[in-house]
Amino acid sequence: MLKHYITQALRSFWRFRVTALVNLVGLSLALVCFIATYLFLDSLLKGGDGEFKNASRIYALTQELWTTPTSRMIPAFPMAAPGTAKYLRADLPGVEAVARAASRGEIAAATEDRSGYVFAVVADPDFLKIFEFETVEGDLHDALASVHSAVLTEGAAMRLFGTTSVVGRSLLLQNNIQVTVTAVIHPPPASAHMGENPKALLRFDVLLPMDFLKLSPGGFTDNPDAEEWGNDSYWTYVLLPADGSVTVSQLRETLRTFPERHIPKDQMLSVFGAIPLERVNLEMLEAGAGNGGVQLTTAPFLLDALILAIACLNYANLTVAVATTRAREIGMRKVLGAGQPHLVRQYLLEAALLGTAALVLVLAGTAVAVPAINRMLGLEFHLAALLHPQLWALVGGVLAFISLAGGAYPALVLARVRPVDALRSASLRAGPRFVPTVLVGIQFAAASFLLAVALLMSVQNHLMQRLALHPDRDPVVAIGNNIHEFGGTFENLRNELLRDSRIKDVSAVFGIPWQMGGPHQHIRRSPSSASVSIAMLNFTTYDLFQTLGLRILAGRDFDRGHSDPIFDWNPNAVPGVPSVLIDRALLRELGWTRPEQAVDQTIYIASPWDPSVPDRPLHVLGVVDNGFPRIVGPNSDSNVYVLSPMGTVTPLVRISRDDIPGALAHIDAVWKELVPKAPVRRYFMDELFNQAYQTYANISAALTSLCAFAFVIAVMGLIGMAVHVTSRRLREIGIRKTLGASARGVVMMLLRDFSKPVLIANVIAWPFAFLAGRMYFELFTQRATMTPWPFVTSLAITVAVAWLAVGAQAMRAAAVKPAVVLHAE
Amino acid sequence: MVLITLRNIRKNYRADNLETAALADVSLEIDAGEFVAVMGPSGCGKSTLLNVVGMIDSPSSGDYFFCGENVAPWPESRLVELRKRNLGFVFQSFNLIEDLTVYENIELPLLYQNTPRAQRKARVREVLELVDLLPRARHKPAQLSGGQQQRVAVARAVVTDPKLILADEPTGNLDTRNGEEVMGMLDILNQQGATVLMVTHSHEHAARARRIVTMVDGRIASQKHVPARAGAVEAASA
Repeated sequence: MLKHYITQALRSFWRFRVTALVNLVGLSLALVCFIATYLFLDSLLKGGDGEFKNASRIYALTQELWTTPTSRMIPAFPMAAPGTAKYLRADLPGVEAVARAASRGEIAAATEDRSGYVFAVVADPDFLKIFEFETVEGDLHDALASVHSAVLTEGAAMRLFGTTSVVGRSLLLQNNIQVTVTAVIHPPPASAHMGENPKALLRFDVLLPMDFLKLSPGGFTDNPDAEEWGNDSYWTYVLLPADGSVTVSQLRETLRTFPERHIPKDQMLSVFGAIPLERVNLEMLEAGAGNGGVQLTTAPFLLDALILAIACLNYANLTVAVATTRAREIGMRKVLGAGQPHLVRQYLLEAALLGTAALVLVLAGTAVAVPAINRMLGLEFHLAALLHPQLWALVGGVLAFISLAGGAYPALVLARVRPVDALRSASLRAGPRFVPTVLVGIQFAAASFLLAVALLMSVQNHLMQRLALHPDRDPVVAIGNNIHEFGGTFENLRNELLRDSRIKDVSAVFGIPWQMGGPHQHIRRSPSSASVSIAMLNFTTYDLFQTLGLRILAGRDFDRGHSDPIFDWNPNAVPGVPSVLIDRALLRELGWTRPEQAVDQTIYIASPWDPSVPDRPLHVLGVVDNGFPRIVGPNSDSNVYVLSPMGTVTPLVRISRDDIPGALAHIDAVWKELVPKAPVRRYFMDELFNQAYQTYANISAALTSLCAFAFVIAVMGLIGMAVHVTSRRLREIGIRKTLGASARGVVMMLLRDFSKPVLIANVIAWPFAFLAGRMYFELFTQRATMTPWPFVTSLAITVAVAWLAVGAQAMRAAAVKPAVVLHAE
Repeated sequence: MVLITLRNIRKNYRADNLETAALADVSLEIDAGEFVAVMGPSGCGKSTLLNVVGMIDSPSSGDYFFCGENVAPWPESRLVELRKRNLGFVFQSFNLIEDLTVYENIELPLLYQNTPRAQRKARVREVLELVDLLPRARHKPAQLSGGQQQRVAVARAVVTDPKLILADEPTGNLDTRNGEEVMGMLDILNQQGATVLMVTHSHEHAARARRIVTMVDGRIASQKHVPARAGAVEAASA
């Protein structure tokens, strides 16, 4: 019987080959989405981190920060506070190793005859025990024991020394710290979360001892021994013992109770966890998205499932439409003894065969296309992933779904057709009349949802680009070097730069613009207020807003002539109440409606988790417009700006657009004069934005592709339906024309009939698209306004596509000669 | 032995609040091994009667006993089992499945009965020889003449060795010669013990039956026994 089913299926595909091809393409597109998603997540999950020798025993600690037991401020990034490692070693002596690592950023490095920049990571000695890097030269045992030791990657050694035989040789870091190379290592795999790869989360060319931080202060990672439980900026790794004497469950249980043992009550609430090393890249993405309700590993598959559902609905609809023209055959089979199970099996098998054909097509195409895609897009898809059992389990599940969902409807509907009805007429209606319309409607609702969301994302993305990229303004250049490391001062740099008229403004911030992250603070209008807002605290110097082109809405900017009090973490370190500016977003969150209302008011930094800690007052000098260069981040919408020496780390220089090369040359010349041994690292703000924005551009592009797939499938389904429906209505059209209907009138009638489900479907999709769009908007620090236009545009596009799809068929049907069809009947 | 008993069978069709009686209080008995022809003007309910007897349509009311069991209230799932083991159908328009070869069309009822492969093969060959179409086994219906297609349909109808053969105007689309061939086959099958119920417009073909039932307006107007024709079997096999 199986042979009969297969034979029948293949012959049926050939006989109705156009429909079969339409279904094949639809199912293939859906499978492409699933396999592409799997490969993408595989490249994230199984990146090079799995290649470390001890990978299966290595876990990275995570730390969430909570303001109150119900209000989470920072999601579970795979990083922890500096003291976590020390206490964990004591709590779990059975673990083989615990070690921290922290990024020091890009620092100047010089040898006798060469100089350049290296990305430095400071690490505990056991870091080299946990990650057993492959050595090129030297011995990693105790390689980081001395504070003046350094481990170079092979690439760094070649750049700085021209050779890898450099153990024992000296290197000058940050223009003033001499270190000795103790080992040279092969870099970690390119797709690991650490290494030389520019996209690595923990990028390094040189590993330095953790205590190097004490030699060269600057930034959050200043004091690795500090008990700063809100400073979750240390990568903390645990190596479990090979004999299994300490399990990951025990580790997690120890971490669960860690805060009550070690964190003082006056500190923010923390929740600790441990994730396998292979998940670090993914967990970083998840945390960056706020650890939302739908995980990044799940969300793409949900979208893929939507595409698959559209393809299966398409299949079901077209199969029923084709099958109704095979009424006599179905009726005869039932007469000859085919029971419902026979017909159900027949149609399920046809769906399974078509799904399998689509799968073979897609896998073959993937094997051919992946290398080219990797090259073109700079991705790391692994072809070997096509052999994973998990992928085959996923594919098996998808095929089963195709068979059941795609084949079940025609199978059940046609199996219920009475033999006498089938034999009596050449074609029949199988199932309720409204079902094909509903199925087409559902397809278009899904496609319209994706289209509306893609349009909303485009609105948000355009806003970000408009706010970030100002082709009509003077460009701003960020200098990546920290002049303090070279014994210089920001003021000196500023004064020298401003000697040239091509330099318009010079200011500074802490950190590279457009990077996520920074210190969050709880801000409220009075110590007794229960309402608390979370804002980003930005360390700046004078002239920042002028440099960035942000308008002061009320009050004034920081001014040298006024000696505005600066901010220090220690409130007793500086006299007076620090002056601050707040942005429009924080103004609204604090309950003010007009900027003037906030000027000269006092706001407070609060510690809601410990009412015994007094609020710290801040004096509002002015209100500035939104627009600090930061794209996304949890609780990163609003900003408060303080004057601080820490705010001079990253100079920002606004240069004249009339002579950009000249301005850049002046910057280079000034730097060279002040820091002769370290070349300047400068970046246009636009470049920094584009780098940071790339992920969201990719997401938007991916969603647009999904939307295009969905539309292609839905349109093919609509065309298929149109073919069948118009052929069934030929007699009716012939009669209408006999009675006086014009061809144009018939075309409009058919287009109206086909448009109705499409229109309704599009409108039904609006509320879902609204919710999804709003979720996307809320990721960003600056949000677009939700207007009706994306929805109206999606409606117009959907209807236009539907009309284009069925127009030709409608015109063909309308051109029919009445005598021909009525005579044939 | 009585094979079929119909008692007060009614079949109504409803369309837009208008009810039409296709069969009105039809009562009929058919013995095993009988050859019964049903005649009447168009729309009198002949085909409806055949469909009800063939269990491919259900009566609106009344009783239908097949081999002593009242099958009128049976659900389709039970009827299909009874149908495939006991009934064979021959239609005016042949109703062969276009995608299947001659061999596969004839094999189909045996597949639905889960007959083992070797047995299927032997039986299909047997009936192909019976209808003299073995050389055409691999051909598709579109490659056959009308008469050949109907012979395939007859072969398919008898491959399961049914108790009852239902023929709805089996010669309606055939020329005289082919029609005679088909009638001859039905004669032979009847001689071999199959009960035949045939709907026809042709008086000549009806005369081949042992009893002619005439219907008018959904009712049995008359029944007439036909004397056996001398040499009828010899004429059919010639």
